[in-house]
Amino acid sequence: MEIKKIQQLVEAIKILPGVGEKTASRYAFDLIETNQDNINLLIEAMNAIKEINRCSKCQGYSEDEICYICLDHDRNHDKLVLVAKAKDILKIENVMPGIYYYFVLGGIIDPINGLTEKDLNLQLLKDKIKDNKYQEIVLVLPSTNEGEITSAYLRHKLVEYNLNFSKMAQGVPVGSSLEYLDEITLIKSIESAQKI
Amino acid sequence: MIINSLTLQNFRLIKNQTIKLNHFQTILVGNNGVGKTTIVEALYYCCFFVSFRTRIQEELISIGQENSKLAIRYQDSRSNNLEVMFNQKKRNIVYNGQNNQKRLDTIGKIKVLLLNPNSDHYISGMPKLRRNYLDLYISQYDYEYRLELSKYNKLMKQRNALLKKSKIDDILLQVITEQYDQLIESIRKTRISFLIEVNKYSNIIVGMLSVGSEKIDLQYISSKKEKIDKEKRYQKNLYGLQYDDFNILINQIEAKKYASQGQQRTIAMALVLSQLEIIYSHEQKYPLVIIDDVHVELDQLRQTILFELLDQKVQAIFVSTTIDNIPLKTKQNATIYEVIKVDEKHSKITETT
Repeated sequence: MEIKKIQQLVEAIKILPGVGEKTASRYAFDLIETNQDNINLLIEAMNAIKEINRCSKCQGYSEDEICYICLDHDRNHDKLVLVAKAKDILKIENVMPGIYYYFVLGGIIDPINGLTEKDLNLQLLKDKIKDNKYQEIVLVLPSTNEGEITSAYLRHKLVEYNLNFSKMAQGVPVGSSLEYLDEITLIKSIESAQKI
Repeated sequence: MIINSLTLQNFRLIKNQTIKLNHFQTILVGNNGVGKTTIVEALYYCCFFVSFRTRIQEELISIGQENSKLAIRYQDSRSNNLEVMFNQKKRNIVYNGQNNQKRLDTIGKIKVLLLNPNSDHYISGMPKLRRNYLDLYISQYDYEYRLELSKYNKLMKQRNALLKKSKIDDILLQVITEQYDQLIESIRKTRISFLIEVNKYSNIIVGMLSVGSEKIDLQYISSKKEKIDKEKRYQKNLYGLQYDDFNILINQIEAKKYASQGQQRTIAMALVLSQLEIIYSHEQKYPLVIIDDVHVELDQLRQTILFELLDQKVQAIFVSTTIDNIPLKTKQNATIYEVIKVDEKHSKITETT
């Protein structure tokens, strides 16, 4: 009976991406060995997941219908930052808090893996653009073929709104040495060198 | 570029051996099936990270072993180490001590030209083999080409997947097609320039090997762009680089259909050996030339010309079942290794004097 419960726990942990049988078993035994306070903390946090929703305006994470970012009137009203996933907003906000408004596309176009334009939150994006006076869309999408396809597709689809488009710069990570750069990054960095 | 040594660990029949390469000629001799071509395959793998014999990486690992390792020490403007460790699932390329190097960044660090009996298929074989010839040899020195080709292959699959959908967003198809067409144009341009260079150097080599009586012409054949409606009906890409080819003419006649066995061999040698000067013109260094059992079938005159072409100019490896096939002049300066089979699963490489 006891063993069945441990296996149930292992199977539940395996839901997490990148976690296989071995890692799941290790986590399961760590959890069994940990004290009750930690378990309660974890249960409480897990239960709270149900309260995390999507903001109806930007599709980012929110505990309410509209997130704190969309309700903040002091941000830059000219630019809208487009990201693929909701977690991308948190990354940007961690380093540049309180500056931009965002919109979560919900993914990128990748027909090989079955993702097409239908999987993007395109209508909601159009609604957000119509309701605001953005001048520029900043595309913060993966620097891959699929990211490029998605960027080009959006530029075509949003042409009627007369917006400027920009994308993330590509280049040398701050503090890194040229010696360890891959050739693509080095080429992109030199091609997009700026006047100083 | 000079390759100083090659180490093979659990690579096919070789358990753990290092061979030092002569800066000019190295000769590998041994009976059929003892593992001479395994050494050639190892060098080739360190250049392109694929085998010319199999697509299944597992087959390269010695039977009963889990991991395999190849290591090369070579010299260009500095001393370099290239190591490749792999098992069934993973591969780690270590370049000068840096782990997990990308294949795209490391192809061509070591430059290799391979002339083996299969090189004849460049003339008589399927178009895919001629496209492979273009891609492999251009990739050795042209990083932009490698990059574009890798991007193209991904985009081709994306476009194909999109065309298979029952309902297709025309704007999305247009966006992907624009990027697809741009890459086709750019890659074709590089391939055509390359073929012009190959044509020039090949004729010099063909002229030498056929004593001036033959001339070859290489013509790139681009597949025709098809209408999108037709592609939607067929639900797949109907044009692109994967349908391209190049035509080889010998004295204005199609070599694929009409060239004799000897002429085909001469053209194959020219296509491969023309890379010597092309790579040199781009990088001011010669690649390692591997002649695997090809010289055996050549007549005396062509053999002499081949050895003279390579003699004291480039680093070369000759693979042969017997030392008797190698000219005395080459033998005198070369390092000679004998490959022998120890048991069913293992072979041994020994330097002979």
